[in-house]
Amino acid sequence: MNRNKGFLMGAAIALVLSVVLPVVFRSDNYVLDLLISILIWTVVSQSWSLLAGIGGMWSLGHIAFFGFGAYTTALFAIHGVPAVLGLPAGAAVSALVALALGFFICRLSGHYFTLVTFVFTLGAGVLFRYFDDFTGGDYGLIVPLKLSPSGILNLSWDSQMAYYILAWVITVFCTLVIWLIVRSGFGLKLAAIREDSRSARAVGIDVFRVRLITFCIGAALASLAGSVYVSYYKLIEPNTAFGLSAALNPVIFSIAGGVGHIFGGLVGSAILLPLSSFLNMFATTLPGIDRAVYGLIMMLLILFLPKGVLGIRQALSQSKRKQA
Amino acid sequence: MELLLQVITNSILLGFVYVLVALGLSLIFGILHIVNFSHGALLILGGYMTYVFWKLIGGWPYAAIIPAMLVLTVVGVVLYYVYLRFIPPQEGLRQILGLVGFNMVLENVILMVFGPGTVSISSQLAFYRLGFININSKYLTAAILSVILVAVTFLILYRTSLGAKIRAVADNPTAAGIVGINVTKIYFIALCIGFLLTGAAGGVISTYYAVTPTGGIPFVILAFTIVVLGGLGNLLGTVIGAFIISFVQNFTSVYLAPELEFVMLFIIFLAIVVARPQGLIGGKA
Repeated sequence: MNRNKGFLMGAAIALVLSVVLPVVFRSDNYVLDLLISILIWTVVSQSWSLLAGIGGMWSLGHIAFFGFGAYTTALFAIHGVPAVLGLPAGAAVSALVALALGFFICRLSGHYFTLVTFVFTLGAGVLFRYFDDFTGGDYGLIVPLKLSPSGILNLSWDSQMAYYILAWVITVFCTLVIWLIVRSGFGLKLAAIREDSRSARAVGIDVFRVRLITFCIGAALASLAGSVYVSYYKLIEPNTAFGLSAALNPVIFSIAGGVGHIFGGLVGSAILLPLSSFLNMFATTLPGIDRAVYGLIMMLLILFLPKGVLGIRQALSQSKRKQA
Repeated sequence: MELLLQVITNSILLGFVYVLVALGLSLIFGILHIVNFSHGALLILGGYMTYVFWKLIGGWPYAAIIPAMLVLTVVGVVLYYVYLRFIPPQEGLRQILGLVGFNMVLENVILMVFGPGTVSISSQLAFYRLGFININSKYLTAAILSVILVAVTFLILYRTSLGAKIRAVADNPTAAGIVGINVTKIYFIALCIGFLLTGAAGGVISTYYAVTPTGGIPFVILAFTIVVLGGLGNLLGTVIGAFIISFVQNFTSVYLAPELEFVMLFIIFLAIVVARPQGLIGGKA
C-alpha cells in the first residue's frame, strides 16, 4: 500500500513538472533541449535500474542497446523507411541481441555478469567502428534533414516541442512498463532472485528464465530511448552509443537518484544533466574537464551516498531506528 | 611457411608483453579481491609517465619506465588508502563502480594535461633476420623486459619468505593473521607489486604502440580476457592465457581479418566465462 502511495505521489509531481516546465520555458531552446535530454536519459537509466536495482544484474553494457536502437532508427531514416518504424524495429533488434547474449550470461553471477557486459559494450564499439560502410565508422550516421514531410512518420518536426512530446510519451510508457513489472508476480520473483537466488530456486522460480526476460525487456526499453535520441539529434556515433563514459551515464544517473527506485533515473538525470551541461561550457577551453568531474561525482556518490538522493530519507530513518 | 613462422614469432614476443599487461590485474584480484576496473587508465598513465620521464631525462627510452612504475605505485597506493579502503570488501559491485569512476577521472585528467593526440617514444626500429623470419627490435626489447619483470615477480612470490606470506594472505587472510603474518603490511606490499607491474606494462606498451588518452580500451579488453581465461587470481593461468590470446589475436589478424580480432576475443571470453568460470586451469571456482 505504502509503495503504491509513494509511486502515485512521485508520479503526480513528475507529471505536473513535466507539463508545466516545458510550457513555461516554451520559447527557451536551451531549457527545452535540456528537458528532452533528461527524458531520454531517464528511459535509459530506468531500464538499467530495472536490471540492476530490481533484478540484481549490474550491467555495464546497457548503453549498447541504446546504441542498437539509435543505429536502427538512423539506418531506417537514411534508407527511406519511415523512422517511426525504427522504434519497434530497434526494440526488436535489441531484444534479440539481449536474448542471444543473455542466453549465455544470465546464468552468471556478480562480477562475471558485469565483466562480460562491460567487454560486450567495448567490443560492440570496436565492431561498429570497423564496419564503416554500414555504420559510418568513427563519424557515425547523420540523418539527413529532409524538407519534405515532417511529422510522426519521419520523426522529424520543426518545433522542439514536438520532440519533447515524443520523449515524454516514451518516458511515460517506459515508466508504466517498469511499474507494472515491479508490481506483478514476475517482479516479486525478480526481487526474490536479487535477494537470494538460491532460495528463489528452491521455491521453484526459474531463475534463468526470469532474468533473461528482464534482460530483454530492459534492452528493448533502452533501445526506444536510442530511437528518440537519434530522431532529435539527427546524429549517432560510436562514442555516444558504445563509449565507456556513455556506458556509465545510466549507472551514474540511477545511483545518484536511487538504484531500484522507480524514479531514481528521473531524479538522477534531472540533477546531473543540468550540471553536465554547465560543465560542458568549460569543456571547450579544457576538453575532458566535464567527464573528469563526472567521474569524481560518481566516486563520491558510490562512497557516501550509495542509495542515492531518494534513499536519503530511508537511510536517515534507519540510522534513527538503530539509535533507538 | 615463412608467414606462419613470422606469425608464430610475433605471437610469442607479444605473448610475453601480454603476461605483463595482465599480471598486475591478476595479482591485485588474487590477493586483495579487487577487480581493478581502472586498469586501462592506469596502463595509459604508465605510458604517458614513461614518455614524460623520457623527455625529461632523455637517453635510453626504456630507462624511463622505472620512474613511471614508481609514479604508478604512488597513484595506486593513494587510490587504495584514500578511497577503496572505505568501501566494504563484500560490496564488490560498489568497488567496481568506484573504480570505473576513477578510470573516467584519470582518463580525462590525462586528456586535459596532454591533449587528445598520440604520444610515442621514438627509438630506432630495426629488424633482425633469423632464417626466414624478421624480428621486430621493439617487440624483442618489450618481450625481454617483460620476461625479466615477470620472472622477478614469480621469484619473489614462489622463492622468498615474503612471497610465501603473500600467498598465505591470498589464500586465507584470517588464518594468515592468526599465525602472525601482518596482513595489512602484506596487502600494502601486494598493492605495490601490482601497481609496479601495471606501470611497467604501460611503459612497455608505450615503447611500441602510440598511446592516446583513451588508448587503454583494447588493452583492457585483452587483460580481462586473459585473466578470465586463466582464472581470476590464478597467476600461472594468467601466463598461459596471455599466450593463448596472443596466438589467437595474431592468427586472426593475419589469416582472417584484423577487424575480427576483438570478435574472436569476445567469443573466447564468453565461452570461458560460461563454460568454465574458474578458468582453463585450476579446480574450484
